[in-house]
Amino acid sequence: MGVWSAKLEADRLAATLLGAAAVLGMLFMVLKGWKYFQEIEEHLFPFADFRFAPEHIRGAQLFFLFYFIATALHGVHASVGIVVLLAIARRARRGAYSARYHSPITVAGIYWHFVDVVWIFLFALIYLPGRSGS
Amino acid sequence: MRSPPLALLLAWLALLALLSLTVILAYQPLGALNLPIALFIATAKSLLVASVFMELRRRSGLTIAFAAAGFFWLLP
Repeated sequence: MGVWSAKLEADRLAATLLGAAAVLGMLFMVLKGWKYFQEIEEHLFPFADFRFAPEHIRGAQLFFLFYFIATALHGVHASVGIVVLLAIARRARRGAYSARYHSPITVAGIYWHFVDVVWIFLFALIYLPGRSGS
Repeated sequence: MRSPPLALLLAWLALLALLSLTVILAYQPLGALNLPIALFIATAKSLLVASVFMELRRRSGLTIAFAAAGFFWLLP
């Protein structure tokens, strides 16, 4: 939507939409941080006083190692995306982009959606399995 | 001002529908099928994002081939 409004030379709308995407990204990071905090409180951080049912402790530790590496790597990319979106929103507000020149917004949008695609798969691999109890 | 592109809104609605579907199906006891179904829906969602939001549907075969190569490189 940001790309679309920049092409229309609607600078304020483009800046608002890009800023909104960044704010949603920040909300995501806050929720993720909150989850991390809960998991560390529950002793689920691998190799740091990890506690789990003894018969499953090795598998659980391996799962949480994968979970923390994958989500932290995604978090780093999402943080970079938030900074990029904020920078692009600032420039859009100043009227830096036009119908002829808007490739930075397009590229930032493609990057942001790449981070999204990674999350689509992480969600399916981490959060959905085991929900049915079968 | 021109109305926002319908494709973007439809893709967003489709993503929300697929998200609901995958969450509902995750709670159904389907045994070994749960994971393949979740991954199939995830693939459909990412194809939507790649084609509509990342604008690959408007690009040539060469660009799509390079995007596919990038995705392939990401697979473990």
